[in-house]
Amino acid sequence: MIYSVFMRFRGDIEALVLGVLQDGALHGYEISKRIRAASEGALSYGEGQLYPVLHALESGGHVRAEWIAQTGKPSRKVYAITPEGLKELDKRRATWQKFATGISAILAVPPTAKEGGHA
Amino acid sequence: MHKEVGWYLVELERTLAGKVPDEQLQSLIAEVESHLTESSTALSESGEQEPGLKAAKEFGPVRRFASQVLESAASPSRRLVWGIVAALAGVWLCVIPIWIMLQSERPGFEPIPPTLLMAGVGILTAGLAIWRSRTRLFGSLLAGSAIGAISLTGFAVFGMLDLGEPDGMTVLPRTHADASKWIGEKQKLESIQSRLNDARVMYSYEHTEPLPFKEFKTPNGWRVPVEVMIDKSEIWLNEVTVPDHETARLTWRHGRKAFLEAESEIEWREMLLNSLPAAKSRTIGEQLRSFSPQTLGWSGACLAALWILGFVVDTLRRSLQLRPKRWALR
Repeated sequence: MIYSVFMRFRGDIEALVLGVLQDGALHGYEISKRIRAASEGALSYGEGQLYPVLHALESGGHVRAEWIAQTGKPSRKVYAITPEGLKELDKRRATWQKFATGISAILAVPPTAKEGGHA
Repeated sequence: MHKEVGWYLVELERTLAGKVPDEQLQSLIAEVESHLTESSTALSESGEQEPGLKAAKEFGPVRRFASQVLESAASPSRRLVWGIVAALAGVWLCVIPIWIMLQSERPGFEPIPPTLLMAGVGILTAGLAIWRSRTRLFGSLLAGSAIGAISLTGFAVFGMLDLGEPDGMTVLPRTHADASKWIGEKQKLESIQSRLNDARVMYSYEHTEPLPFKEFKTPNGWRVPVEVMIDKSEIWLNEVTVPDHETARLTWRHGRKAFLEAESEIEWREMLLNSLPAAKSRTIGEQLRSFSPQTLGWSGACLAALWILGFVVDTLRRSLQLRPKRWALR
């Protein structure tokens, strides 16, 4: 049960994307960079994986996208989180915190270990 | 733009062409181009020797990306259509082996009806059309074939289509009236029947029993479905009993009937064989040549109509992105 929850969250790029976008609108490459930097490299994956997730979030109404023209460079598609996306982020955050609290309680260093190892 | 980025975009477009709507594909290509350009520029600035290649590598293989795009573009109708096709194919694949097993173990068991095989072809072709057709031509042909096979199955199942007998079978008398011309024995029976009115003859059928086979194999290998009943009759003539006489009554599928009279099963089988001289000698080429221009014209028109219908269905499929989520691009 715990394992499946963990695995589900680990693959939940949607939550990470929403988390990154809460600070402001970003384009795909920047989102990818932010996730990698914020997690200090712990969460790295093929950058291409991001786009299907972004498109799913867009069709679900959690983010909205806008094309911005650039001079001398290809246009950028910039994504911004919507109020629905913020609500969704809150839900996922609560789930994660519940899960993390449970795991922390189990994986916490036992008092005996702190006092000098096993009896 | 780095050449590796260009190659990546070309390959991506080639992989997804026809699988997602054109407008969506162009938007996606533009987005990926923007990403790879940003990425390769950043890598170049950081001193990377092959920034285009590195950017493409970090983005991930084309096929994996395309697969993920198709998965995320799932529509509810896609799963429904695939569910129906997969369920039908599953049922069909379960029924066929059981049927074959029963047929081999029980001599009198019906052979697999051609309609069932036709339905299977229709289901599998439809599945293939939805799953794998990349080009418009192939997709349309497959979809048209699937529609044709499924429609023919429906017509045949509901008795709306008389496929008729193989060529050569038509020499058999088709009605009871015709039988009298063909079988001399019938004349004898009629003469006896005529005397029935004088109350000097008793003529009655004792019982009817089915023969333990359901088809007749012609010398050239056709298996003709028939229903055969043996009417055993006893005829009394002025209290003198004539020995039992067997009449094989053949009922063709589609309600056509023929009567063959013989003393035994072996004899009427021989009669049936002798009635098929055309069937013995016909080759596929001869049969094709025997089609009238009108038949050929109608066949061509039907095929063209099916192809056009297939094109429409294939276009609809592409716009709905009917592709199973888990099987995408594997």
